[in-house]
Amino acid sequence: MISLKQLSKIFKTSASTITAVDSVDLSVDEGEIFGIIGYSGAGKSTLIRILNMLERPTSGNVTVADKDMSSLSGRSLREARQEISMIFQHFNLLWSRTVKENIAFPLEIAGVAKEDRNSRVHELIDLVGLKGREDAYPSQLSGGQKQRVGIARALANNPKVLLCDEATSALDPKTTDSILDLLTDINKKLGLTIVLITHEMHVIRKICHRVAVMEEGRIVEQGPVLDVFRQPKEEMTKEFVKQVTEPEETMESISDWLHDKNQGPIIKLMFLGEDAEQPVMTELIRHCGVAVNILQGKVSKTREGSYGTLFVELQGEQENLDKALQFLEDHRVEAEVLKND
Amino acid sequence: MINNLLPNVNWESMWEASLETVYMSIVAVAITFVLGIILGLLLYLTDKGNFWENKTIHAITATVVNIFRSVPFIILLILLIPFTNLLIGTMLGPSAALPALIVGAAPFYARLVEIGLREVDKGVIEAAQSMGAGQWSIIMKVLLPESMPALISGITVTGITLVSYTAMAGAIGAGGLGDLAYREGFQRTQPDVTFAATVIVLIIVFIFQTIGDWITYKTDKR
Repeated sequence: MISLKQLSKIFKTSASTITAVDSVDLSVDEGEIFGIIGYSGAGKSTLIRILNMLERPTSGNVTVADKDMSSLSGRSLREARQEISMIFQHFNLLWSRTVKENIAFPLEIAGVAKEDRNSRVHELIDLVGLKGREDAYPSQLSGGQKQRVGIARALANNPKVLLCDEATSALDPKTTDSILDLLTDINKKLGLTIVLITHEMHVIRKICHRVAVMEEGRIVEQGPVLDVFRQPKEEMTKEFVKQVTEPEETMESISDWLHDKNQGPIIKLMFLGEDAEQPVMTELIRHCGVAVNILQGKVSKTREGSYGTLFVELQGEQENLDKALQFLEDHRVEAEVLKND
Repeated sequence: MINNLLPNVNWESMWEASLETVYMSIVAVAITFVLGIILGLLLYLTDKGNFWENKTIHAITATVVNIFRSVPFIILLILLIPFTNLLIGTMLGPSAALPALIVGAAPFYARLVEIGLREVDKGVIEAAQSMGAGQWSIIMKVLLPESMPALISGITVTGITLVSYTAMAGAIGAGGLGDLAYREGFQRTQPDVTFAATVIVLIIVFIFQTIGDWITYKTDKR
Protein backbone atom coordinates (compact mmCIF):
# COMPACT_ATOMS: atom_id res chain seq x y z
CA MET A 1 0.00 0.00 0.00
CA ILE A 2 2.87 2.31 0.87
CA SER A 3 6.44 1.97 -0.21
CA LEU A 4 9.33 4.31 0.41
CA LYS A 5 12.65 3.85 -1.35
CA GLN A 6 15.82 5.65 -0.34
CA LEU A 7 13.78 8.57 0.85
CA SER A 8 15.66 11.65 2.07
CA LYS A 9 14.66 15.14 3.10
CA ILE A 10 17.27 17.79 3.67
CA PHE A 11 16.41 21.21 5.09
CA LYS A 12 18.83 23.92 4.05
CA THR A 13 19.07 27.14 5.97
CA SER A 14 21.71 29.76 5.45
CA ALA A 15 23.49 28.61 8.58
CA SER A 16 23.25 24.83 8.29
CA THR A 17 21.82 21.82 6.54
CA ILE A 18 19.67 19.38 8.46
CA THR A 19 19.00 15.89 7.23
CA ALA A 20 15.56 15.26 8.68
CA VAL A 21 14.98 12.00 6.84
CA ASP A 22 17.97 9.95 5.79
CA SER A 23 17.70 7.18 3.13
CA VAL A 24 14.59 5.55 4.52
CA ASP A 25 13.30 2.31 3.03
CA LEU A 26 9.92 1.25 4.27
CA SER A 27 6.88 -0.66 3.15
CA VAL A 28 3.46 -0.85 4.69
CA ASP A 29 0.96 -3.54 3.72
CA GLU A 30 -2.70 -3.01 3.01
CA GLY A 31 -4.88 -3.14 6.12
CA GLU A 32 -1.91 -2.88 8.44
CA ILE A 33 -1.40 -0.58 11.40
CA PHE A 34 2.18 0.55 11.14
CA GLY A 35 3.81 2.56 13.91
CA ILE A 36 6.86 4.80 13.72
CA ILE A 37 8.37 5.64 17.08
CA GLY A 38 11.08 8.13 17.90
CA TYR A 39 11.89 11.05 20.13
CA SER A 40 11.05 14.56 18.95
CA GLY A 41 13.50 15.66 16.30
CA ALA A 42 13.97 12.11 15.01
CA GLY A 43 12.36 13.09 11.71
CA LYS A 44 9.19 11.05 12.07
CA SER A 45 6.94 14.07 11.64
CA THR A 46 8.71 15.02 8.41
CA LEU A 47 8.49 11.42 7.22
CA ILE A 48 4.72 11.15 7.71
CA ARG A 49 4.18 14.55 6.04
CA ILE A 50 6.09 13.35 3.00
CA LEU A 51 3.50 10.59 2.57
CA ASN A 52 0.86 13.15 1.50
CA MET A 53 3.35 15.65 0.07
CA LEU A 54 2.78 18.30 2.72
CA GLU A 55 6.55 18.09 2.61
CA ARG A 56 8.40 17.35 -0.63
CA PRO A 57 11.22 14.81 -0.41
CA THR A 58 14.69 15.87 -1.50
CA SER A 59 15.30 12.49 -3.11
CA GLY A 60 13.82 9.00 -3.22
CA ASN A 61 10.52 7.42 -4.16
CA VAL A 62 7.16 7.57 -2.42
CA THR A 63 4.37 5.30 -3.59
CA VAL A 64 1.03 5.44 -1.81
CA ALA A 65 -1.98 3.45 -3.05
CA ASP A 66 -0.22 2.73 -6.36
CA LYS A 67 0.49 6.40 -7.00
CA ASP A 68 3.95 7.87 -7.32
CA MET A 69 3.29 10.80 -5.00
CA SER A 70 6.34 12.92 -5.75
CA SER A 71 5.43 13.12 -9.45
CA LEU A 72 1.98 14.57 -8.69
CA SER A 73 1.06 18.22 -8.50
CA GLY A 74 -1.96 20.48 -8.81
CA ARG A 75 -5.26 18.74 -9.35
CA SER A 76 -3.87 15.21 -9.47
CA LEU A 77 -2.12 15.74 -6.12
CA ARG A 78 -5.31 17.14 -4.58
CA GLU A 79 -7.24 14.11 -5.81
CA ALA A 80 -4.60 11.72 -4.48
CA ARG A 81 -4.74 13.48 -1.10
CA GLN A 82 -8.43 12.67 -0.81
CA GLU A 83 -7.39 9.03 -0.50
CA ILE A 84 -4.80 9.75 2.18
CA SER A 85 -6.36 11.33 5.23
CA MET A 86 -4.57 12.74 8.20
CA ILE A 87 -5.34 13.38 11.86
CA PHE A 88 -3.29 15.70 14.02
CA GLN A 89 -1.97 16.11 17.53
CA HIS A 90 -3.82 19.41 17.95
CA PHE A 91 -6.88 18.23 15.99
CA ASN A 92 -6.83 21.23 13.63
CA LEU A 93 -10.58 21.60 13.47
CA LEU A 94 -12.22 24.75 12.12
CA TRP A 95 -13.53 26.51 15.21
CA SER A 96 -16.00 28.50 13.10
CA ARG A 97 -17.83 25.31 12.13
CA THR A 98 -19.96 22.90 14.14
CA VAL A 99 -19.10 19.21 14.47
CA LYS A 100 -21.39 18.44 11.53
CA GLU A 101 -19.93 21.18 9.36
CA ASN A 102 -16.37 20.17 10.20
CA ILE A 103 -17.05 16.61 9.10
CA ALA A 104 -18.76 17.90 5.95
CA PHE A 105 -15.73 20.03 5.08
CA PRO A 106 -13.70 17.41 3.14
CA LEU A 107 -16.92 16.38 1.38
CA GLU A 108 -17.46 19.97 0.24
CA ILE A 109 -13.91 20.02 -1.07
CA ALA A 110 -14.51 16.76 -2.93
CA GLY A 111 -17.64 18.29 -4.47
CA VAL A 112 -20.17 15.89 -2.92
CA ALA A 113 -23.81 16.97 -3.31
CA LYS A 114 -25.54 18.41 -0.26
CA GLU A 115 -27.99 15.55 0.46
CA ASP A 116 -25.22 12.97 0.11
CA ARG A 117 -23.06 15.04 2.42
CA ASN A 118 -25.71 15.07 5.13
CA SER A 119 -26.29 11.34 5.10
CA ARG A 120 -22.55 10.63 5.06
CA VAL A 121 -22.00 13.01 7.99
CA HIS A 122 -24.64 11.18 10.01
CA GLU A 123 -23.04 7.80 9.30
CA LEU A 124 -19.68 9.14 10.45
CA ILE A 125 -21.07 10.72 13.60
CA ASP A 126 -22.51 7.32 14.53
CA LEU A 127 -19.25 5.57 13.68
CA VAL A 128 -17.10 7.71 15.97
CA GLY A 129 -19.69 7.89 18.74
CA LEU A 130 -20.58 11.59 18.69
CA LYS A 131 -24.34 11.29 18.46
CA GLY A 132 -26.03 14.25 20.14
CA ARG A 133 -23.03 16.56 19.67
CA GLU A 134 -23.62 17.32 15.97
CA ASP A 135 -24.34 20.99 16.48
CA ALA A 136 -21.67 21.70 19.08
CA TYR A 137 -18.70 23.88 18.22
CA PRO A 138 -15.17 22.51 18.77
CA SER A 139 -14.68 24.87 21.71
CA GLN A 140 -17.49 23.05 23.51
CA LEU A 141 -15.86 19.62 23.13
CA SER A 142 -13.29 17.73 25.20
CA GLY A 143 -9.95 16.72 23.68
CA GLY A 144 -11.12 13.17 23.04
CA GLN A 145 -14.29 14.37 21.35
CA LYS A 146 -12.29 16.77 19.19
CA GLN A 147 -10.09 13.93 18.01
CA ARG A 148 -13.21 11.90 17.23
CA VAL A 149 -14.36 14.75 15.00
CA GLY A 150 -10.88 14.72 13.45
CA ILE A 151 -11.18 11.00 12.76
CA ALA A 152 -14.70 11.32 11.33
CA ARG A 153 -13.49 14.15 9.10
CA ALA A 154 -10.53 12.06 7.96
CA LEU A 155 -12.79 9.13 7.05
CA ALA A 156 -15.36 11.20 5.18
CA ASN A 157 -14.03 10.57 1.66
CA ASN A 158 -13.40 6.84 2.25
CA PRO A 159 -9.62 7.09 2.22
CA LYS A 160 -7.31 4.14 1.68
CA VAL A 161 -4.70 5.34 4.14
CA LEU A 162 -5.00 7.19 7.44
CA LEU A 163 -1.97 9.08 8.71
CA CYS A 164 -1.88 9.83 12.44
CA ASP A 165 0.51 12.61 13.41
CA GLU A 166 0.94 12.15 17.19
CA ALA A 167 -2.83 11.82 17.32
CA THR A 168 -2.99 10.90 20.99
CA SER A 169 -0.08 12.91 22.37
CA ALA A 170 -2.28 15.75 23.61
CA LEU A 171 -4.73 13.42 25.35
CA ASP A 172 -4.80 11.92 28.82
CA PRO A 173 -4.12 8.15 29.17
CA LYS A 174 -7.75 7.12 29.44
CA THR A 175 -8.83 9.18 26.43
CA THR A 176 -5.76 7.93 24.54
CA ASP A 177 -6.97 4.36 25.06
CA SER A 178 -10.48 5.15 23.84
CA ILE A 179 -9.10 6.81 20.70
CA LEU A 180 -6.76 3.85 20.11
CA ASP A 181 -9.72 1.48 20.46
CA LEU A 182 -11.61 3.54 17.90
CA LEU A 183 -8.65 3.37 15.48
CA THR A 184 -8.38 -0.42 15.93
CA ASP A 185 -12.10 -0.68 15.34
CA ILE A 186 -11.93 1.37 12.13
CA ASN A 187 -8.94 -0.64 10.94
CA LYS A 188 -10.93 -3.86 11.34
CA LYS A 189 -14.26 -2.58 10.04
CA LEU A 190 -13.00 -0.68 7.02
CA GLY A 191 -9.72 -2.48 6.36
CA LEU A 192 -8.05 0.90 6.44
CA THR A 193 -4.25 1.08 6.35
CA ILE A 194 -3.02 3.23 9.25
CA VAL A 195 0.40 4.81 9.65
CA LEU A 196 0.99 6.49 12.97
CA ILE A 197 3.89 8.29 14.54
CA THR A 198 4.30 8.60 18.27
CA HIS A 199 6.83 8.83 21.06
CA GLU A 200 4.79 6.54 23.29
CA MET A 201 5.56 2.82 23.18
CA HIS A 202 2.18 2.30 24.79
CA VAL A 203 0.49 3.33 21.54
CA ILE A 204 2.66 0.95 19.50
CA ARG A 205 2.07 -1.88 21.94
CA LYS A 206 -1.66 -1.43 21.97
CA ILE A 207 -2.60 -1.20 18.32
CA CYS A 208 0.30 -1.66 15.90
CA HIS A 209 1.12 -4.75 13.87
CA ARG A 210 4.57 -3.58 12.92
CA VAL A 211 6.85 -0.89 14.21
CA ALA A 212 9.83 1.11 12.95
CA VAL A 213 12.18 2.89 15.34
CA MET A 214 13.54 6.18 14.10
CA GLU A 215 16.64 8.01 15.25
CA GLU A 216 18.33 10.99 13.62
CA GLY A 217 16.36 10.59 10.40
CA ARG A 218 17.16 6.92 9.95
CA ILE A 219 15.11 3.83 10.66
CA VAL A 220 17.34 1.88 13.02
CA GLU A 221 15.10 -1.09 13.56
CA GLN A 222 11.80 -2.43 12.26
CA GLY A 223 9.68 -5.52 12.45
CA PRO A 224 6.57 -7.08 13.96
CA VAL A 225 5.81 -5.47 17.32
CA LEU A 226 6.27 -8.64 19.36
CA ASP A 227 9.63 -9.41 17.74
CA VAL A 228 10.89 -5.94 18.48
CA PHE A 229 9.68 -6.28 22.05
CA ARG A 230 11.32 -9.68 22.37
CA GLN A 231 14.71 -8.80 21.01
CA PRO A 232 15.30 -5.09 20.78
CA LYS A 233 18.67 -4.76 19.10
CA GLU A 234 19.34 -1.06 19.23
CA GLU A 235 19.86 0.94 22.41
CA MET A 236 17.10 3.31 21.30
CA THR A 237 14.63 0.47 20.89
CA LYS A 238 15.50 -0.95 24.30
CA GLU A 239 14.73 2.39 25.88
CA PHE A 240 11.32 2.51 24.22
CA VAL A 241 10.53 -1.09 25.14
CA LYS A 242 11.37 -0.28 28.75
CA GLN A 243 8.66 2.41 28.72
CA VAL A 244 6.01 -0.27 28.76
CA THR A 245 7.67 -3.29 30.34
CA GLU A 246 9.44 -1.84 33.32
CA PRO A 247 7.76 0.47 35.76
CA GLU A 248 9.83 3.62 36.09
CA GLU A 249 10.91 2.96 39.64
CA THR A 250 12.05 -0.62 38.85
CA MET A 251 15.78 -0.18 38.73
CA GLU A 252 15.78 1.99 41.82
CA SER A 253 13.99 -0.55 43.95
CA ILE A 254 15.89 -3.48 42.45
CA SER A 255 19.24 -1.83 43.17
CA ASP A 256 18.44 -1.97 46.88
CA TRP A 257 18.09 -5.71 46.59
CA LEU A 258 21.24 -6.04 44.51
CA HIS A 259 23.32 -4.44 47.20
CA ASP A 260 21.91 -6.57 49.98
CA LYS A 261 24.48 -9.29 50.77
CA ASN A 262 22.11 -11.74 52.38
CA GLN A 263 20.03 -12.44 49.34
CA GLY A 264 19.98 -15.28 46.86
CA PRO A 265 20.44 -14.77 43.12
CA ILE A 266 18.29 -12.07 41.58
CA ILE A 267 16.98 -12.85 38.15
CA LYS A 268 15.23 -10.82 35.49
CA LEU A 269 12.79 -12.98 33.55
CA MET A 270 11.30 -12.04 30.24
CA PHE A 271 8.10 -13.70 29.13
CA LEU A 272 6.92 -13.64 25.58
CA GLY A 273 3.84 -14.48 23.64
CA GLU A 274 1.92 -17.42 25.05
CA ASP A 275 4.58 -18.20 27.63
CA ALA A 276 3.63 -15.07 29.47
CA GLU A 277 0.23 -16.50 30.10
CA GLN A 278 1.38 -19.89 31.42
CA PRO A 279 1.97 -20.64 35.07
CA VAL A 280 5.76 -20.94 34.73
CA MET A 281 6.40 -19.73 38.26
CA THR A 282 4.22 -22.39 39.86
CA GLU A 283 5.96 -25.09 37.83
CA LEU A 284 9.35 -23.70 38.78
CA ILE A 285 8.59 -23.87 42.48
CA ARG A 286 7.09 -27.35 42.22
CA HIS A 287 9.83 -28.94 40.09
CA CYS A 288 12.98 -27.36 41.41
CA GLY A 289 12.29 -26.99 45.07
CA VAL A 290 13.28 -23.36 45.23
CA ALA A 291 11.49 -20.51 46.94
CA VAL A 292 10.65 -17.58 44.71
CA ASN A 293 10.42 -14.10 46.05
CA ILE A 294 8.79 -11.73 43.55
CA LEU A 295 10.35 -8.29 43.69
CA GLN A 296 8.81 -6.45 40.80
CA GLY A 297 6.97 -7.24 37.62
CA LYS A 298 4.80 -6.13 34.75
CA VAL A 299 3.02 -7.84 31.90
CA SER A 300 1.86 -5.87 28.83
CA LYS A 301 -0.39 -7.04 26.10
CA THR A 302 0.45 -6.42 22.45
CA ARG A 303 -1.84 -7.30 19.57
CA GLU A 304 0.02 -10.55 18.91
CA GLY A 305 0.52 -11.70 22.47
CA SER A 306 1.86 -10.70 25.84
CA TYR A 307 5.21 -9.49 26.89
CA GLY A 308 6.35 -9.27 30.47
CA THR A 309 9.27 -8.87 32.80
CA LEU A 310 9.53 -10.19 36.28
CA PHE A 311 12.26 -9.62 38.80
CA VAL A 312 12.56 -12.48 41.28
CA GLU A 313 14.90 -13.60 43.98
CA LEU A 314 15.50 -17.38 44.18
CA GLN A 315 16.19 -19.01 47.48
CA GLY A 316 17.35 -22.60 47.99
CA GLU A 317 20.25 -25.05 47.70
CA GLN A 318 22.82 -24.30 44.98
CA GLU A 319 21.90 -27.55 43.22
CA ASN A 320 18.25 -26.56 43.10
CA LEU A 321 19.10 -23.08 41.94
CA ASP A 322 21.05 -24.49 38.97
CA LYS A 323 18.14 -26.75 38.23
CA ALA A 324 15.82 -23.77 38.30
CA LEU A 325 17.91 -21.81 35.79
CA GLN A 326 18.00 -24.83 33.50
CA PHE A 327 14.23 -25.17 33.83
CA LEU A 328 13.69 -21.58 32.80
CA GLU A 329 15.92 -22.03 29.77
CA ASP A 330 13.98 -25.14 28.74
CA HIS A 331 10.75 -23.24 28.93
CA ARG A 332 11.91 -20.52 26.57
CA VAL A 333 11.86 -17.92 29.26
CA GLU A 334 14.73 -15.55 28.91
CA ALA A 335 16.51 -15.16 32.19
CA GLU A 336 19.20 -12.70 33.03
CA VAL A 337 21.02 -13.18 36.32
CA LEU A 338 21.55 -9.75 37.80
CA LYS A 339 23.25 -10.92 40.95
CA ASN A 340 24.62 -14.30 41.99
CA ASP A 341 27.00 -14.51 44.95
CA MET B 1 -38.69 72.75 24.74
CA ILE B 2 -35.85 71.41 22.67
CA ASN B 3 -36.25 74.35 20.28
CA ASN B 4 -35.67 76.76 23.17
CA LEU B 5 -32.46 75.02 24.12
CA LEU B 6 -31.19 74.83 20.52
CA PRO B 7 -32.74 77.95 18.94
CA ASN B 8 -30.69 78.00 15.74
CA VAL B 9 -31.05 74.36 14.78
CA ASN B 10 -32.99 73.75 11.58
CA TRP B 11 -34.08 70.16 12.08
CA GLU B 12 -34.87 69.61 8.47
CA SER B 13 -31.33 70.42 7.29
CA MET B 14 -29.94 68.56 10.32
CA TRP B 15 -31.86 65.44 9.21
CA GLU B 16 -30.64 65.85 5.65
CA ALA B 17 -27.03 66.26 6.82
CA SER B 18 -27.38 63.16 9.01
CA LEU B 19 -28.60 61.13 6.04
CA GLU B 20 -25.63 62.36 4.00
CA THR B 21 -23.21 61.34 6.73
CA VAL B 22 -24.83 57.93 7.10
CA TYR B 23 -24.82 57.47 3.33
CA MET B 24 -21.13 58.36 2.99
CA SER B 25 -20.19 56.16 5.93
CA ILE B 26 -22.15 53.08 4.88
CA VAL B 27 -21.10 53.10 1.23
CA ALA B 28 -17.48 53.78 2.20
CA VAL B 29 -17.54 50.99 4.83
CA ALA B 30 -19.01 48.51 2.34
CA ILE B 31 -16.43 49.23 -0.36
CA THR B 32 -13.57 49.45 2.17
CA PHE B 33 -14.58 46.05 3.55
CA VAL B 34 -14.26 44.41 0.13
CA LEU B 35 -11.17 46.31 -1.04
CA GLY B 36 -9.47 45.96 2.34
CA ILE B 37 -9.99 42.20 2.37
CA ILE B 38 -8.58 41.88 -1.14
CA LEU B 39 -5.55 44.02 -0.24
CA GLY B 40 -5.15 42.24 3.11
CA LEU B 41 -5.25 38.86 1.40
CA LEU B 42 -2.65 40.05 -1.08
CA LEU B 43 -0.41 41.20 1.78
CA TYR B 44 -0.89 37.93 3.63
CA LEU B 45 -0.60 35.52 0.71
CA THR B 46 2.53 37.09 -0.75
CA ASP B 47 4.23 37.05 2.65
CA LYS B 48 6.99 34.58 3.49
CA GLY B 49 5.84 30.98 3.79
CA ASN B 50 2.38 31.51 2.27
CA PHE B 51 0.79 30.43 -1.02
CA TRP B 52 1.92 33.22 -3.30
CA GLU B 53 5.18 34.04 -1.54
CA ASN B 54 6.66 36.87 -3.60
CA LYS B 55 9.01 39.43 -2.11
CA THR B 56 8.54 42.04 -4.85
CA ILE B 57 4.74 42.07 -4.87
CA HIS B 58 4.64 42.00 -1.11
CA ALA B 59 7.05 44.92 -0.84
CA ILE B 60 5.15 46.99 -3.43
CA THR B 61 1.76 46.34 -1.80
CA ALA B 62 3.15 47.07 1.65
CA THR B 63 4.70 50.34 0.49
CA VAL B 64 1.53 51.56 -1.24
CA VAL B 65 -0.51 50.65 1.83
CA ASN B 66 1.90 52.43 4.14
CA ILE B 67 1.97 55.58 2.02
CA PHE B 68 -1.81 55.95 1.85
CA ARG B 69 -2.12 55.10 5.51
CA SER B 70 0.36 57.80 6.48
CA VAL B 71 -0.92 60.77 4.45
CA PRO B 72 -3.11 62.94 6.72
CA PHE B 73 -6.69 62.61 5.55
CA ILE B 74 -7.32 66.29 4.95
CA ILE B 75 -4.30 66.38 2.61
CA LEU B 76 -5.37 63.17 0.90
CA LEU B 77 -8.73 64.82 0.18
CA ILE B 78 -7.04 67.69 -1.62
CA LEU B 79 -4.56 65.47 -3.46
CA LEU B 80 -7.38 63.31 -4.76
CA ILE B 81 -9.50 66.16 -6.16
CA PRO B 82 -8.42 65.56 -9.80
CA PHE B 83 -8.98 61.82 -9.40
CA THR B 84 -12.43 62.42 -7.88
CA ASN B 85 -13.35 64.82 -10.68
CA LEU B 86 -12.37 62.18 -13.20
CA LEU B 87 -14.28 59.39 -11.44
CA ILE B 88 -17.44 61.11 -10.21
CA GLY B 89 -17.52 64.17 -12.48
CA THR B 90 -17.71 66.62 -9.60
CA MET B 91 -15.96 67.34 -6.34
CA LEU B 92 -19.09 68.44 -4.47
CA GLY B 93 -21.68 66.37 -2.62
CA PRO B 94 -21.55 63.18 -0.57
CA SER B 95 -20.70 60.85 -3.48
CA ALA B 96 -17.65 62.95 -4.31
CA ALA B 97 -16.28 62.22 -0.84
CA LEU B 98 -16.34 58.45 -1.42
CA PRO B 99 -13.08 57.99 -3.41
CA ALA B 100 -11.07 59.85 -0.79
CA LEU B 101 -12.81 58.07 2.09
CA ILE B 102 -12.12 54.66 0.56
CA VAL B 103 -8.55 55.42 -0.46
CA GLY B 104 -7.92 56.68 3.05
CA ALA B 105 -9.56 53.78 4.88
CA ALA B 106 -8.92 50.67 2.75
CA PRO B 107 -5.12 50.54 3.34
CA PHE B 108 -5.67 50.94 7.07
CA TYR B 109 -8.25 48.15 7.04
CA ALA B 110 -5.99 45.99 4.83
CA ARG B 111 -3.40 45.96 7.64
CA LEU B 112 -6.05 44.89 10.14
CA VAL B 113 -7.15 42.14 7.72
CA GLU B 114 -3.54 40.96 7.37
CA ILE B 115 -3.18 40.76 11.15
CA GLY B 116 -6.44 38.83 11.39
CA LEU B 117 -5.36 36.36 8.69
CA ARG B 118 -2.03 35.77 10.40
CA GLU B 119 -3.92 34.64 13.49
CA VAL B 120 -5.47 31.73 11.57
CA ASP B 121 -3.93 28.49 12.81
CA LYS B 122 -1.41 27.17 10.26
CA GLY B 123 -2.35 23.65 11.36
CA VAL B 124 -5.91 24.18 10.12
CA ILE B 125 -4.64 25.34 6.73
CA GLU B 126 -2.42 22.28 6.61
CA ALA B 127 -5.38 20.06 7.51
CA ALA B 128 -7.34 21.54 4.61
CA GLN B 129 -4.39 20.92 2.29
CA SER B 130 -4.16 17.33 3.49
CA MET B 131 -7.81 16.89 2.45
CA GLY B 132 -6.96 18.03 -1.05
CA ALA B 133 -8.33 21.58 -0.80
CA GLY B 134 -7.11 24.01 -3.44
CA GLN B 135 -6.03 27.58 -2.72
CA TRP B 136 -9.40 29.10 -3.56
CA SER B 137 -11.22 26.69 -1.21
CA ILE B 138 -8.73 27.44 1.53
CA ILE B 139 -9.22 31.19 1.12
CA MET B 140 -13.02 31.00 1.03
CA LYS B 141 -13.63 28.15 3.45
CA VAL B 142 -10.75 28.46 5.91
CA LEU B 143 -8.93 31.80 5.91
CA LEU B 144 -11.92 34.15 5.72
CA PRO B 145 -14.38 32.28 7.99
CA GLU B 146 -11.71 31.54 10.60
CA SER B 147 -10.63 35.19 10.75
CA MET B 148 -14.18 36.61 10.56
CA PRO B 149 -14.36 38.01 14.13
CA ALA B 150 -11.09 39.90 13.53
CA LEU B 151 -12.36 41.10 10.12
CA ILE B 152 -15.59 42.37 11.69
CA SER B 153 -14.02 44.09 14.67
CA GLY B 154 -11.49 45.60 12.25
CA ILE B 155 -14.20 47.03 9.99
CA THR B 156 -15.97 48.42 13.07
CA VAL B 157 -12.88 50.38 14.07
CA THR B 158 -12.39 51.46 10.45
CA GLY B 159 -16.08 52.44 10.18
CA ILE B 160 -15.78 54.75 13.17
CA THR B 161 -12.70 56.35 11.67
CA LEU B 162 -14.70 56.78 8.45
CA VAL B 163 -17.47 58.65 10.26
CA SER B 164 -14.91 61.16 11.48
CA TYR B 165 -13.37 61.32 7.99
CA THR B 166 -16.80 62.26 6.57
CA ALA B 167 -16.80 65.29 8.86
CA MET B 168 -13.48 66.37 7.42
CA ALA B 169 -14.68 65.71 3.90
CA GLY B 170 -17.58 68.01 4.74
CA ALA B 171 -15.12 70.86 5.10
CA ILE B 172 -14.24 70.70 1.41
CA GLY B 173 -17.81 70.50 0.20
CA ALA B 174 -19.03 66.97 0.67
CA GLY B 175 -21.97 67.92 2.88
CA GLY B 176 -23.06 65.96 5.91
CA LEU B 177 -22.91 66.74 9.60
CA GLY B 178 -19.30 67.92 9.56
CA ASP B 179 -20.14 70.45 6.87
CA LEU B 180 -23.19 71.64 8.83
CA ALA B 181 -21.27 71.94 12.10
CA TYR B 182 -18.52 73.91 10.36
CA ARG B 183 -20.53 76.27 8.17
CA GLU B 184 -23.72 76.78 10.17
CA GLY B 185 -22.24 76.23 13.60
CA PHE B 186 -18.72 77.63 13.58
CA GLN B 187 -18.70 80.22 10.80
CA ARG B 188 -22.08 81.72 11.82
CA THR B 189 -21.36 81.42 15.57
CA GLN B 190 -24.23 79.13 16.36
CA PRO B 191 -22.68 76.79 18.94
CA ASP B 192 -26.00 74.98 19.47
CA VAL B 193 -25.86 73.74 15.84
CA THR B 194 -22.32 72.41 16.38
CA PHE B 195 -23.48 70.78 19.58
CA ALA B 196 -26.50 69.07 17.97
CA ALA B 197 -24.38 67.86 15.02
CA THR B 198 -21.79 66.44 17.42
CA VAL B 199 -24.43 64.55 19.39
CA ILE B 200 -25.80 63.02 16.20
CA VAL B 201 -22.29 61.97 15.07
CA LEU B 202 -21.82 60.35 18.47
CA ILE B 203 -25.10 58.48 18.10
CA ILE B 204 -24.04 57.20 14.65
CA VAL B 205 -20.68 56.05 16.05
CA PHE B 206 -22.41 54.37 18.97
CA ILE B 207 -24.76 52.49 16.64
CA PHE B 208 -21.80 51.37 14.45
CA GLN B 209 -19.91 50.11 17.48
CA THR B 210 -22.89 48.23 18.89
CA ILE B 211 -23.68 46.50 15.61
CA GLY B 212 -19.99 45.64 15.07
CA ASP B 213 -19.59 44.23 18.57
CA TRP B 214 -22.75 42.19 18.22
CA ILE B 215 -21.67 40.62 14.90
CA THR B 216 -18.18 39.93 16.28
CA TYR B 217 -19.72 38.21 19.28
CA LYS B 218 -22.04 36.17 17.06
CA THR B 219 -19.31 34.97 14.71
CA ASP B 220 -16.74 34.17 17.39
CA LYS B 221 -17.18 30.51 18.35
CA ARG B 222 -13.74 30.04 19.86
